Parts: sequence; structure tokens; C-alpha cells
Amino acid sequence: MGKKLFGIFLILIAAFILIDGYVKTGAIAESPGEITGFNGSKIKLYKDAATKSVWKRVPAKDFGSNYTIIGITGSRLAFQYDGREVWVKRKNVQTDAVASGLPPCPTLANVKNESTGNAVSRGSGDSCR
Amino acid sequence: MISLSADGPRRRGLGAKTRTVVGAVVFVFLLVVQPGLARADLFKWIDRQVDGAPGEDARIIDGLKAGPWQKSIFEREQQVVPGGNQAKAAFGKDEDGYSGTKFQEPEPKATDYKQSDVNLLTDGVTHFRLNRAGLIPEARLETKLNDIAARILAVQPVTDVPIRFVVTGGRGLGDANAMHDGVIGIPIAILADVKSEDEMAFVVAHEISHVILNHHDSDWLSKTNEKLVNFAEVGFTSALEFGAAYGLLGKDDQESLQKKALIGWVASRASLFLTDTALAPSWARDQEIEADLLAFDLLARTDYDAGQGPIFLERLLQYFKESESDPFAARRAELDAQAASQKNLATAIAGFVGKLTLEIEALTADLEERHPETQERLDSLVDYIDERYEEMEEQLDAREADSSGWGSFLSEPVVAELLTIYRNSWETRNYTAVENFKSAEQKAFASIKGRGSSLALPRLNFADLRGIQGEKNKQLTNLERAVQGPEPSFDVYRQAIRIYRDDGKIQKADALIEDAWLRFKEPAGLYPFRIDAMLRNNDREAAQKLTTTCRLVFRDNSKSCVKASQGKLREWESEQSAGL
Repeated sequence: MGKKLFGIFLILIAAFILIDGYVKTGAIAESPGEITGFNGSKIKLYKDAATKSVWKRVPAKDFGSNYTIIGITGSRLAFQYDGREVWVKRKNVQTDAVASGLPPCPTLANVKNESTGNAVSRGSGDSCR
Repeated sequence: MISLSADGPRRRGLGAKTRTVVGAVVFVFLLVVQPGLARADLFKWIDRQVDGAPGEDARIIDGLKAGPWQKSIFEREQQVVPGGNQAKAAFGKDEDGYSGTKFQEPEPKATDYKQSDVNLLTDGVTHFRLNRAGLIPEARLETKLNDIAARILAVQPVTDVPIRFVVTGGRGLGDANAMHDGVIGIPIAILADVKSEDEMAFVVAHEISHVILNHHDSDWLSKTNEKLVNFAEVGFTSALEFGAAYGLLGKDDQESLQKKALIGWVASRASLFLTDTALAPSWARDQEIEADLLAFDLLARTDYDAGQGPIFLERLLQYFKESESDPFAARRAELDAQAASQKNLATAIAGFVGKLTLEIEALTADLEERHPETQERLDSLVDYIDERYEEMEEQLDAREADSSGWGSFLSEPVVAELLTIYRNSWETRNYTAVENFKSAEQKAFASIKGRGSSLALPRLNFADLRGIQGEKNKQLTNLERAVQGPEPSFDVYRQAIRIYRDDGKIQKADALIEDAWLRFKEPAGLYPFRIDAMLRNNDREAAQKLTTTCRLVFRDNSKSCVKASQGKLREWESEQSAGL
């Protein structure tokens, strides 16, 4: 009986470790990532995910980079700033979740731009050949 | 000048001239030598003081006037028929009893340069055909973009905006282009990379905004200045040569004309320099920001998630950061490797001097700064939303981008096949660039499967690979397949023409030149070949006329046209091949 109980105890501990590991791994895998930069001249900070009134306005240049995102809603993100949780609008931050999946541009020594037409256009044109 | 005259001859001497020359030299030195970024900031600052920032006073959309879209100055200029239209425009009141002195249009001579002799303004579709990436002939892609455009155009007051979307084989995320005639080229890479129709709608709205706001009008000054320089360079010289040759000008007349020519050339050159280095880049930057802001205004009025605007700019910023490379890195690494292996003092010193020169060059280089520019666009857009859309914030935040719908569109067989073809073709080029020919071949064969077998870019990239491998016949086969395809690009023709000429197959080359001359509406790149063909057919007068036109209109091709008119096109081609 004592051995059985001990066996069950061991299994429970193993299960706990596995589940805990899974949960932690899952949490890491689903981590919203990092804030890598800020957009705009003054960033509005909110106290929570829904408050309408702005708690504080901070110039973008006063922030550092690579803040870990600790909360996320449809239009806001949370991170630790000056030792407390603050919320910011999605448009005000750059995150590592947005990236381009295109293959990089090659640097070909033998590519030469030649004049072909007399058109006028708005846009960067043919920057990656 | 007036004060100099009043002060008498002594003040008019060396002092004033020296001051003028020194002033001019310092001004040019400051403009040319100082780093590009600082110069751009200076002009940006001046521009802001004069005009203010876009969107500073109100929403951009509120400034749009209801009514039919106005054609750009360029297009209006192109439509003016010299003589006929001038009389109608200047004396349009004649029928209502206006009694002015009528403008007498002189009879044109057969040898006069006429605007109608040359295609001064390339239309949008031809422009994209002339680009290396070429057009993708697939209605499904165009329909999708035109449908998005229709939803956007419906919420703004300008009518009859002639928007038409085409899709190019372009691979740059920032390479969408709006043309003066409303034709907008979207690289297939953007379709592949955005994550929702809402994000795509921002790109579509941005390009439409350029057309609605007539941003192409500002190019008019730059192009006009370019023409002035060309006329000053070519026109006066020709007049002098002609006048002297036929004894129409005395010695004094010649000297006077030469002085006028010099003053004209310096003035037009200075004007072109100022336009190209200061005004045009400054306007272009403001116009990009203005188009972003109007794009947001437009999306906010549709039911698209306008918040995807900043997301697209964030993606673009990330893309530029990743794709930018230091142009000096390779040379720096090479010099470092040489220094590490040097035992000889003299060569080590030479290496050190080389490195020092390189670093000075790198410091003063006018590097293309793409991410500060994109960050500025992003900051401007976010500030604009904060200031102009505060009361709509909740409503806009509640919108959700539809990523699954966009995913379904990209999975449609016809779209998915094209995405695979073009991705393989871009990778062919990447592997070719790093001389991994085995992988390049695998990607190239994958890119010409199915529809790819007759598409321009996959065949062109495969042809380039075969050319580097020294497989000339296979290179030509790829190009010929592309020429026979539904939408061959100009580069396909140009390369095929060069190979035919190298092989002495002049008739085949001439046939392709003739075909391309019509298809691409008299492109600048074919002028030298046409001139060469005319000379071979002893049509000297026509060759001379075409050379003059080439020199007046296409600055970049001027040298090759002159070489061709001297019967030295082969020589020119060899020099160019050696320089590549």
C-alpha cells in the first residue's frame, strides 16, 4: 500500500512537472513578443486596457527599446514602464511580430540602371531588382 | 549690379567678382560636400518653414474639391498641339467678339523639331513594361485591386479619377508606383507580404491619393529644367555650328552668341541642380506623407480597418532595415583581409591609406536613407491620427482586419501558382548573385513550370544565369520564349537584340528593334539602335534628326546616340559591356 501510494505520488509529481513545463512552454510560445520602437511624437499611456482618459504623455525619444509585452487587447498593448504596468495604443508601437517574409534583395554587381522612358511616377520605383 | 555701376569702375573690379565667386563656391561646396542626410534635413527645415507640414491644419480629405479630376500639368502639356491649341487657348473669346491681334503661327520647316516627333511622356502601362520586373498578365489580380479601389474612390468627392491597377513582377515591398495617367503598378511582392485586405487597402489608398492630389505636377518643374539644360547644351551649339558653317554669323555675332549660350547653360544648370537636389526630394517626401494621411482619411470613411495603415508602414520600416546593406562593407572587409596578411611595410602603409580614404568616403557619401524617411512617415501618420481622429478613436479601434479572407485569396490556384513562380524567380537571382549556380538552376527550373514558361521575369532571370554560366544558346532560348510570351518586358528585347548583334544576326536584331519600337512606344534605349539601322540604310537625314531628338529629350542616352550617329555603336556597346 505504501509503495502504491509512493508510486502514485511520483506519477503525480511527474505529471505536475510535465503540465507545468507544457504550460510554461505554451506561454513562451504564445508570448506576444517585444516592443521594438515607438511611433509619433508623444506617446499616450493608459492605466489599463479600457480607460479612455490618458494617464500620462511621454515623448517617444524618452523610451528605450525592447520592452516585453505583458498584455494585449484588440487595440492596446501593456508593458512595464518605470516599475508599473502601462497600456499603449497599438499604432504607437513597433513590435517584433511585424516583419516582412520576402526574400532579401540581392546585390548584383552587374545590374545597371538604364534610361528607358520619359515617365513620371510617384513611388520608389524599382528599388529591388 | 546697379550699385556696382553707381560706385564706379574700381568697385566693379576684382573685389566684387571675387566675392561673388567665393560666395558661389562656398554655396556649392556646402551643397555638394556636406553629408546627404544633413543636407536633406536643411531643405526639409526650410520647406517646413515655408509650407508647414502636411495635415497640420485640417484633415487632408476636407481640402478636396468636389468635381471632376484635373489631369496633371504633364498630361495637359502633352495634349497641346503647337499652333492649333495655342490659338484656341489665347484667343478663345474670338467667337464672342474679341478683337485682338491674332497670333501668326509661322509655317513649320520640314527639319524643325516638333513635339509630336517624340514620345515625350511615357504612359503608365508602357512605363511598367519598360521595367525589368515587367507586367503579370493576370486579370484576377487586377480585378482584386480594382475592387478595393472602387470601395475607396466611392467615399471621396473627386469624380472621374481614371484609376487602373496593374500587377508587376516587382519584389520590393516599397515599389508600388502611381503614374500621372492614373495607372498604378503594384508589385506582386506586396500582395504576398501583407496580412489582410485592410493592409492592402492602405497601399491602394496611398497610391490613389497621389493621383487625386495631382502630385505628378511637381515633376513638371524638374522635367522642364532638364529640357532647358538640354536645349542650352545642344540647341545653342547646333545654332553656332550651323550659323558659322553657312557664313550667317560674323565673328562678333558668334562671340555674343557664345556668351549668351554660356549664361543660359549656367542658369539652367543651376536651376536643375537646385530642383534635383533640394526642391524635388523635399516635395517628394512631403507628398509621401500627404498620401499616407489622405489614405487614412479614405480608409476611415470605408469599413476597412484603417489601423492597418501604421502596420503596413511598420512592415515597410522593418523591410528596409533588413534589406539595407552597407555599400562599403565588401571593400572594408577586403582591405582588412589584405592588412592581416601583409608583412611588407610599404604595402601595409598603402593599405592603411586605402582604408583611411574609404572611411572618409563612407562618412561623406550621400547614402540612400530609407528608414529615417519611413520612420518620419510613420510618426507623421500616428500624430495625424491622434490629432484629427480623437473623436472617432473608439469606432476605429473596434474594426478588425480580415486576414482569413486575404489568405483565401492568396490560396486561389491561379494566385498561388503565380506567387510560387515569382518567389522561385527572385531566389534564382539571389543564388546567382552569390554564385551558387546549382541552387540557382533548381529555382530557375521551378520558376518556369506551368505558366512560368512564357513569363518575362522568370525567363529573364534564367537567361541571366545561363549567360553567367557561358551557355549562350540556352540564354537566347530563354529570351526567345519570353519574347513569344503574353507580356515580354523591355529587358527581354534588349538582351535578345544584343545577342543577335554579337552573333552578327543583324536582320533578326533589326526585326526585334522594330517590334520593340512600336510595342514600347519609341523608348529612349532604342534610339541608338534605330540611328545605327538608318545609317546602314543610308538614310543620313533621318538618322541626324533622330540624334538631335535623342540629345534634346533623353540626357542619359545622349552619348550613345552621338556614338551611333558617328557609326561607332559597336565600339560603344563594347565599352559598356566592359564596364558592367
